[in-house]
Formats: sequence, C-alpha cells, structure tokens
Amino acid sequence: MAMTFKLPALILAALIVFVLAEALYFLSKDHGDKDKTRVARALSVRVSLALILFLLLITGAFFGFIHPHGI
Amino acid sequence: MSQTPSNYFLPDPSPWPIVAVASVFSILFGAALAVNGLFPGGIFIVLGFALFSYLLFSWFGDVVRENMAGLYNERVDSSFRQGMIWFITSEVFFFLTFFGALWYLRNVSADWLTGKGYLAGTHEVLYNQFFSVWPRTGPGLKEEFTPMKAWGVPAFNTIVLLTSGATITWAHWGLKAENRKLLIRGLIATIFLGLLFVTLQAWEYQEAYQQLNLTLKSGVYGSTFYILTGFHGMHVTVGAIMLAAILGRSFKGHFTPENHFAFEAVAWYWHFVDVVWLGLFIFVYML
Repeated sequence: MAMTFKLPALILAALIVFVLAEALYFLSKDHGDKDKTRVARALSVRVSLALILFLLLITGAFFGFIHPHGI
Repeated sequence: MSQTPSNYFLPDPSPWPIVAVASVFSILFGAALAVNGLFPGGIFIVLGFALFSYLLFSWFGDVVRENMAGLYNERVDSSFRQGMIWFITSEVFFFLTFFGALWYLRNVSADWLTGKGYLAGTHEVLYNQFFSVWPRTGPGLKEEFTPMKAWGVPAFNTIVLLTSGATITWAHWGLKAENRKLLIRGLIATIFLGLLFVTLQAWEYQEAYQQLNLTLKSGVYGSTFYILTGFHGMHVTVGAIMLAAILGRSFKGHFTPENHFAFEAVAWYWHFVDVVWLGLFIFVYML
C-alpha cells in the first residue's frame, strides 16, 4: 500500500478506535442523563470516520495505490 | 427483597446461576461425546443450548422487571456499566488474539520458514523449497485454493455494516429526542442489515467451499480466514439477537431519554462489531 494512502488510513483507523473507546468511557460515566449526549455524539463521529476510511480504501484500490490480494 | 437508597438492591434467591451451570455442563458434555463420535452428544448440545437460551431469556427478564419496578439505585446502575466495560475488555482481547495470530503467521513465522531470523535453520533443514507469499497454505500442503477477493460480497457487506452503524445511530438520536417511532424504525433497519450481513456471509462461505476450494483445511490461510470471519459473524448474530430484545423493550416503552443503559450498551456493542469488521476487511480481505 502506497504511503500516500497508508498514513491517512492508519490515522483514521486510530481515530476510530479512540472515538469508540471514548464512547465506552462516556457510557460508563454519563448514566443516561438526557442532556448528556456524549455517547451518541462520539458514536456518530465513529460512523462518519469509518465511512471516510472505507471511501479512502476504495479510492486507493481504484487508482491502483492499494493492491488487494486475490485480484 | 430489601433496599435502602444508599445500598445495593438485594434480590431474592435465584435459580438462574444453577441453571447456567447445568446448561454449560450439558453443552460441554455433549461436545466431549460428539468429538469422540458417541451418539447422544448432539442431543446434549441441543438441550444445553435450549436451556441456555431459556436461562438468558428468564434471567434478563428478571433484571428488566426489577429495573422497571424501580428497585435499582445508582450503585446498581454503576455496576452494570462496569460489567459492560469488563465484558468489552474480554472481547477486545479475544479479537486481538486472532488478529495477533494472523500478524504473527504472516510477519514472523513466514520469515523463519524462508530462512531469515534466528530460526532460519528450519528453512535449511525442513522447508528449503518454501518461499513467503500471502495468501498461501503454509509449507508442506500442496492443495490449491483461490483466496477470497475483497471486492464483491466482502465489500458489499462492509457497506451493509457501515449502513447499520448509521441506522443504530439514527435510533440512538431518536431515543434521546423522545421519538419512539424513529427509535423503532432505526432498530428494525439495523436488525435487517445485520441479518442481511450474516446471510451474505453464509453465501460467501458456500462459494468459498464450492467454487474456490477455500476450506478449513486450506492450511494457515483457511484457518485464519474462517476463525476470524466466523467468530465475527457469530458476534453479528448475537448482536442482532440483542438488538431484537431491545426492539421488543422499545415497543413496550421501557426506555426514556434518562434511563436507557441497555440500549446504549447494545448500540455500543454493535459499533464495536462494525469496527472489528473494518479491521477484518483490511487485514484479512485486502492486505
């Protein structure tokens, strides 16, 4: 995988794991208070980051920067 | 039952721990018989799983009833949240073990077998015809297979799970906004997408066995492919069952914007399963 795609992909993957862990931390702390929407917000960010990562992978493969095995 | 505001709620004596032991014993006893080819093994396994399902339904039912009766205070709530963290920690290490095994096989043991590192002698003495390339069965196995391609079903399944992450988040915000219709629609969509994912994965396995000759016997690639994707598929199945339970509770109006730990725990679990799949898509299917 070319570095042009590897670095952003690694950063995105690390961010996804961080935000997911953050949501778990908020889940343990917020006790479901109505005004505390931190879990929902963190998980929304998680979904957006995952979508960006997937699009990055598809783009990388389309332009030949990533060569999935078996093809 | 007794409870004071500052103490833990003390439930009545419960039969469920004993039923749990009986069901697990039945499953393991049946498995021990089955792997030795003895007849009643399968029956014990089926009975064990049936008892285990009954146990989960009944025990969680008791917990829901106690919760709805207002018997749980903040300390009990905290203990549920801590329990969730321990459960997830065990899940993280469970998957890390399998990802770690894949990394070790591809990056450490393959080097030794090709003559690098301090165990390079293995190459000279045993496998001097071995060269490292992935995917492959490993040394000594001759049977040909075609590896699973990333595009096609796996990429489509990634879109399915990503979409399910969006629909469960949609339901989450619906719950926070006291919009029960949104909550229920989001949950139904998520369960549907989860079941679609599992169905497509089953179809993918069938293709792998019949068209690609990719089986559990396809050496180290086949083993890691099926154990990683198989356990993930099992988690999606369990997650969909948990979501169905949450959907049932949502129909009954159990959740409020202030009190919905069960929903948030299951939603988080679903996001976790989604993230694990992204890891699988990259490390098992793409690289």
